[in-house]
Amino acid sequence: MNIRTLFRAAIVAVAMVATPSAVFAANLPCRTAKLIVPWKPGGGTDVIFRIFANAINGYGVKPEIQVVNVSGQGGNKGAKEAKRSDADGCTLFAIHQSAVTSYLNGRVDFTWDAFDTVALLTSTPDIVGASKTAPYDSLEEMLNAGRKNPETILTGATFGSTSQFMWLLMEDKTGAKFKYVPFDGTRERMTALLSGTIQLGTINVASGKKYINTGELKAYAIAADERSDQVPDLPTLKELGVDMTYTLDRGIMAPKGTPKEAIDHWASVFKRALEDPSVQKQMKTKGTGLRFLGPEEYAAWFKRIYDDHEKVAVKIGMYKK
Amino acid sequence: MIWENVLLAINELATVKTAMLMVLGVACGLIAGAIPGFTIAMAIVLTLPFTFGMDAAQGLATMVSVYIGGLSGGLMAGILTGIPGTPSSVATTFDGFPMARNGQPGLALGIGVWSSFCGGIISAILLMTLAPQLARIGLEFQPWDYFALVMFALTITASLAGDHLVKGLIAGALGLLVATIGEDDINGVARFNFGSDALLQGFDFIAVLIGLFAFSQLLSDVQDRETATKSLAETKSVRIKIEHGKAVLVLMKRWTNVIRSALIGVFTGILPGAGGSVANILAYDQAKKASKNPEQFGTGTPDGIIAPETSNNATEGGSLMTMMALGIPGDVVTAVMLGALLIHDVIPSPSFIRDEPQLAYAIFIAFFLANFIMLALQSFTLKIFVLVTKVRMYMLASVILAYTAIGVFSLNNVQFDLWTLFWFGIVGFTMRQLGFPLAPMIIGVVLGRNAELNLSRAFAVTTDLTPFFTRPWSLFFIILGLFSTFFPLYQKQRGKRPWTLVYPSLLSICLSVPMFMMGGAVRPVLGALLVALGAYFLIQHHREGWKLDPRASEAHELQAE
Repeated sequence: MNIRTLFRAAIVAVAMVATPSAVFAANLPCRTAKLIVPWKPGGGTDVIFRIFANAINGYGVKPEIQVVNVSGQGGNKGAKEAKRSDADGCTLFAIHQSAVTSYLNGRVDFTWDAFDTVALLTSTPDIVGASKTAPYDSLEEMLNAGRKNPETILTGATFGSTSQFMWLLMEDKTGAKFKYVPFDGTRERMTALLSGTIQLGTINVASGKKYINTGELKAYAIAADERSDQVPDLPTLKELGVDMTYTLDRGIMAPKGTPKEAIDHWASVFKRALEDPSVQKQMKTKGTGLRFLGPEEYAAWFKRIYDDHEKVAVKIGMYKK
Repeated sequence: MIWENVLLAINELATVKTAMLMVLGVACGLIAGAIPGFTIAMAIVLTLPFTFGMDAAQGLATMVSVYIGGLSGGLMAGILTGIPGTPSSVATTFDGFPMARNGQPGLALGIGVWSSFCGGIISAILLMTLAPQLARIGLEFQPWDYFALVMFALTITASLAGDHLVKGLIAGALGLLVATIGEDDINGVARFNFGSDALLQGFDFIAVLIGLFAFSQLLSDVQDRETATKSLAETKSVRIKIEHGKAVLVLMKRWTNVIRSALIGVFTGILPGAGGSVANILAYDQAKKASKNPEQFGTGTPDGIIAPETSNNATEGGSLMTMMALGIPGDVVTAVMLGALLIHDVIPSPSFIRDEPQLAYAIFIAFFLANFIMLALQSFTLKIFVLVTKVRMYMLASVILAYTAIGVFSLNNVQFDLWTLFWFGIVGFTMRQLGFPLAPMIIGVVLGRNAELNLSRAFAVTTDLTPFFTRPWSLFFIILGLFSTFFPLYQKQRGKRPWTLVYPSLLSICLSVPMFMMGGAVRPVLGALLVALGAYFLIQHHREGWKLDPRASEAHELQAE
């Protein structure tokens, strides 16, 4: 009657039927490795990594991957749990820029370098979105209003989280100032934008596409290097003269001190999934870009991201060096 | 047009594979819902990877089945063991468990099953006909309105406390206090953690709920040798058969309760973030207030089972409406379903039903069918489940506790939740012994975070307090909350004091004000009807010369004895 065992058995059965073609073998001391996702089931990060885990378990890789949600404290609860875990290659940790922002806003006392980097996998650009009721028709109008009446435009973002850093960077680049109302999580922000509780907020391609097309939400720009082919009419911030990008980049890390073979094993496994056409198709429909960086490049990338964020955080007085 | 879509959708679903998946889904949901602590959300998340390989309609049909199975599974555990399987069936235990202990588990379960079915079907019909219009209501709610709604829900504490008003209020306040422990959701400020990293995480409210209700119940069940060797139905002969016929008759006699609870369920479901855990308590409270014999609530009255079970199944329809029509999930369950839709490149929006009629109607039909499958499966599984009441308490308690612990651990996969379960079990046990009601505390824990979050948002927008009174929905719930606070007093003094004569008229006239403020076509008409109703009562009292009728309340007291 144990439902978990039943489910697990079913997962194993499906995996065995699927493809036992090339079986990787890494000497890890476990039958199942856990991939800690520090956010709620059904959220952006969760769905992305469940797609990866599903594909990888289909290759017959041992140990298998089991997604484990440890949600709470804006991702920090899961991060602490991952940091505490044994560094034996049996625990992986899915993360994005929040590893940096949570340290800078003082909610945790460790940042990305408390982990070993495995691989960067996806990149989801933020869209500068606005409610239908917002009285600005372009980015320029909105920024002018933000400069003329600083700290009056209601913007959905939780203080010191990734949802606020896009706006902080924009304030830094343009001189506009916004007023923040705590709405963390893309879905909550979407609801608040649709109901007109807030006027500005970041959204992403997957959840916002339809509303942008029907005109129920306004979108001023996409914070990426290039336009998205899902919303080709939306200009990039750079095209509009604001020299910045802001993407949410998700990757895999492991507890500090994980053996090199284990890290290389997981990096190659995730790389294979990334090159899998079915995974690529699912990510594309979600509007998520794919971008692979191996363990060393990923560490260098995190270093750069950290420096960028630290500069902003020091400037606004959130973080003191 | 509708029928064409319905037929197309049936065509889509009418394959052996889909039917089997749905039956399997309902069965898994039933089992998951019956295990305390193992939430429906968890069951749906576990289903998610399987749906990657199915087509969209099939995948969603499976998920809907698990969802419905899960909601209905909670009632088996709730009625037979007094432990709510899910937060959505907390109120079911108030009367379901006493009824089962009074030797009528068959009837209690029958009423539960048929109430679930009715709630599901009523909301399915509303879902099919009114989804886009009703879903819009969800968007009218802003932080002020949510806060007022939660405040209204908190006034229920007073009526749930019954005779021990002060103890009930203490328990409620204690619940609110527990909800503040840990990092706050807005700025991440640490509160009441005393430097401990574990307390900084805060208590998971489901772990608290299971601890307070389940663990403490199990502890009281085995407090001495004598009670420990008893079984749940030791004293009276148990009829293992589920009394379907009798249950249906009971329901038909109380059809107003069924309809009212279903509407409460659908309405709460539509609001993002409210959901079944609020709906079942609201519906129970309204049933108690509307009842002629409120004293019987808590002792095993059929109305006390009908209200929560109808409403929690009706919330599914409501949250599916918002999810499909607006792409806004009302709870974790619909959030996961939305995730599944996005993977298939289906993005819900107000035009979703027009753009993808086949898929939309497939969800409607699956919802409808799953209710029938649930009814069939539940009649069957309940027969096995009733046997639980024959097991000796010490064995039953250990097995339930083991499953409960597994369920609680799987919520967040952290050990700390198990300690939460343990300590709150002891807190709950102590409170029971001292005569504190536990329900108000649960309400405080469940709603505290929600109230705080929305209040902070309201204040982040403006520190001005007037929006609480100028926004129609907010005003609506503030008025309801005020009247609800005085309701226990009204019930006691009805007919004895002059003010009680104007209470109903005043309520309906006051409520018409926000209805007029909302504008549109339908709502001012409703407002006008409320005014007319209020005026009618007043005129009637005037004709009778404002005569007091002490019999009205005495009648109660006699019945109670």
